[in-house]
Amino acid sequence: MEDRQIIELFKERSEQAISELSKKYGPLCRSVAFGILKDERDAEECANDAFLGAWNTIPPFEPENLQTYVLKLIRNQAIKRYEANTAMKRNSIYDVALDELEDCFPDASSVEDEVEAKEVARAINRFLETLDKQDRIMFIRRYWKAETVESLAAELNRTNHYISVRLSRIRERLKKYLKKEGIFL
Amino acid sequence: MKRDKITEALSGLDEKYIDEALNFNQEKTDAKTGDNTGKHRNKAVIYRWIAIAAGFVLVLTAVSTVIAIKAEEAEYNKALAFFEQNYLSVEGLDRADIKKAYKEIISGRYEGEDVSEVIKKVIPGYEIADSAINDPLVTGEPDSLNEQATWIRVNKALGRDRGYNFTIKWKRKEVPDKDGNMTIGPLEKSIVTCTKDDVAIWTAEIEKMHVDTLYIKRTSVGTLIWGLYQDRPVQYGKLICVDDNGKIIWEKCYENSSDPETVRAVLESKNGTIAVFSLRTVTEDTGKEYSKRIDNKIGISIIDKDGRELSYKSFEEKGSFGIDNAVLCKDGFLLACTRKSTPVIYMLASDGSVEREMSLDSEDFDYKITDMIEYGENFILSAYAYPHTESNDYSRDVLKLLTYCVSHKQEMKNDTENASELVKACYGLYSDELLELAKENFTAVMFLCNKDTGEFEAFYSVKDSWSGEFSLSEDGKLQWFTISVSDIAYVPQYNSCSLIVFGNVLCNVIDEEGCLTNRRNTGKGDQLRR
Repeated sequence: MEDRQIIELFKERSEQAISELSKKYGPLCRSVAFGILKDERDAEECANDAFLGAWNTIPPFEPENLQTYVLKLIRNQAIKRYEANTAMKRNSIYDVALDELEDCFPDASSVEDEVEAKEVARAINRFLETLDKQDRIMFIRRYWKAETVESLAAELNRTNHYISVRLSRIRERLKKYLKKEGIFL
Repeated sequence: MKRDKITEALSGLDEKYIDEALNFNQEKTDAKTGDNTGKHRNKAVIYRWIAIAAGFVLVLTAVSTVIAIKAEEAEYNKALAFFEQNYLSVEGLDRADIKKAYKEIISGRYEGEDVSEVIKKVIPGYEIADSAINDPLVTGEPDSLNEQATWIRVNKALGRDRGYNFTIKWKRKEVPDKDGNMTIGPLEKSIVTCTKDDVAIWTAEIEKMHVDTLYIKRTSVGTLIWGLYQDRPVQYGKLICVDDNGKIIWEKCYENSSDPETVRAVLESKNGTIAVFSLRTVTEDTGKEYSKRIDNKIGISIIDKDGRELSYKSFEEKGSFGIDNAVLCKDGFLLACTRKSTPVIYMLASDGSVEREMSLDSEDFDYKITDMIEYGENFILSAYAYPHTESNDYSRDVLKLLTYCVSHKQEMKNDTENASELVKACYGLYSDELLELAKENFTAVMFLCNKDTGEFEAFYSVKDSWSGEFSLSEDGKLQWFTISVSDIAYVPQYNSCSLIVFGNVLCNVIDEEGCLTNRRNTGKGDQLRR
C-alpha cells in the first residue's frame, strides 16, 4: 500500500492503518531498534510503541515522508528503552558508535561555550552536505541507525577494514569541521 | 551531558539524508554499474582536501575560542536589535534576560510573566484595539444582533461539555504475525471516562470502536458517542448512548450492504429528538487494492430518546469533501459541507429534507469555513478567503505560496540568514517577500447568513489573517478568534515539501449591537501546515 493511502487510513482512524504500517515498515523498524537494543523482544516492543506513537500523532500531524517519520519514532523509543535498561552495561552497537562520535566533539571550556543540541544538529547537517554520497550513507547508517561495520561492508560491497578506515576519516573531518564552526559540547 | 546532546542532535538530522541512507539498497544495482574512475577521482579529491584542511589546523585551533565568544555576542546583538526595532526598553534587564526574552518572543513559548508586556507590543500583526471601539472594521451593520443568543456549539468539542471532561484509553489485542511472533493487533475496546471537577463519574467500555473526544456529546437523553465499529471484514458507523452510570442503554448501527456509513455530526433538537448526520462514501471496485470514490451520500436520521429511528433521509453531495459542521436552526438544521473548494450550506427541515442550498462563492476568492454558530435570527460563519484556484488539492489555500517557493528556492536560501529562530528551528527557508505574500494570501471573514434570503453578507474582515472559531464570553459577547500571520517557513524535503505559516491568535470581541469592543492578543500562537 502506498504511504499516502496508509496516512489516509490513519486520518480515518481505521485500525487497518497500523497493520498496513507494520506490514510495510515493520522489518526495517525492528532492525533499527535491534541495532540499538540487541534484543529481539525489546525491539519488537519498541516497534509496537512506535506504531502506537504514529497512531496518536496522525492526525493532526501528517508526515511528508512516512518511512522516515516512523523510523524516527522507533529510534527515539529504542534510545529511551536502552537508557532505561542499560544504565551500567555498555555492550550494544549503539553505545560503541556513540563512543566513536563523542570523540569528534571538542570540549567546551565553560558552560557558556556549550551549544544547544539543535545547533549541533544543524552543524552536522551542513557537514553531511560536504560529504560524497557513499560517505554520507556510511555516516548515517553507522551513527543514526547504529549499524555494524560488518553490515555496512556487506551493504557497500567493501571490506571491514575499508569501512573502518573510511569512518575514521569521516570522523576526523567532522572533528575539524566542528572546531571550525565553533561547536563545543 | 555531551552524550545526551549528541543523541539529541542525531535525532535532528535532515530527513533527506536519512531517507537517502535507508533507501540505499534500491540503488545498489545502479551504484555497482557506476564509473569506477569516478571513485578513484573522488578519493584523490578527498585526500587533497584533507591535506589542505590539515594545513589549517593550527590556525583554526587558535581562533576557535574567539569564534565561540563571538557567537554569544552575535546572539546578544541580535536580541538587542530586536528590542530597538520594536521600541522596547531594556531597562532593568541584564544580558541573559534580554537574550531569554528575545528567544521566548520569537519562539512563542513564554515562561515568565516579565515578558507579557513585551509580547503585547512586539508580536507582528497585533493592532491596538482601543481605537476600534464603536468603530467596525468594515462598513455594513447587522440588522439585529441584540436578541438573546442561542449558543449551540458546533461539532468541535474538545472533550469538554459544560464542565464535563472525557478521557479515553485504547486497548489493543495481541495477535501472532506470520512468523508466530506476537504483534500489535486490532483494537479490542475504547475505555471512556467522564469526569467533572477532576472527579471520575463514570467509565464505559466500547467494544471494537475507536473513540475520540471529538465524537462525544452530552445530551438530555445521555452521553452520545459515535465512531466506526470495526470487526474485520465488517465495519460500519455506530452511535451509542451511555447513561450517567456508564451503562450503554442503546446502540444504533449504520449498517449497509455495500459502503460503510459513518456518523459525522450529532445534534439534540429542541423537541428532544436526536439528529444524526452521516456520510456514506459510494465507491467503485477498481480491481486494485483500493476502491475509487464516486461520490458522497449524506444521511440524516432522526431518532428518539430510546434510539429508535423516526425518519431517515439522504441526498447526494457530488464532489464533496464531507460534512464540516452542523448546527440547529429554529425549525431544522444547517449543515456545512465543502464541495470541491466551495463551502456549501444546506438548510434542512426538522425531518432532514433539504429546503435550501446556499454556497459561498466568489470569482476572485475561495473560502474555507472554520466555524459556524447560531446567533438569534441569524447564522454567523467564521471563514477565511484565499486566492481562487481550480485545484482540489488539500493545499489549495496556499497554492500561490507554494508556487512562489518552488520558483524562488535559490533566492530564499540566501534570505534565510535573516529568518527568525522559529523558521530556523524547523530547518525552513524564508524570504521577506514570501512573508508578504502569505499575509496577502489570507483574509479572515466573519459572515452573516440571512436565513430568509440565503445570502451571505460580509460582516467583518481582517487582513493578513486566517480565521478560527467562535466562543461566548462570560458577559454574553461573541468572541471571534483570528490568527494574524507573523512568520512562514518553507521546508523542502527529499521528495516533497511542507509549508508552515505561523500566526498569533487574536480575540475579536463583538457586542450585541454588532460593534467591535475589543481586540486583544491572546498570547498564544497557532500554525497552519500544508
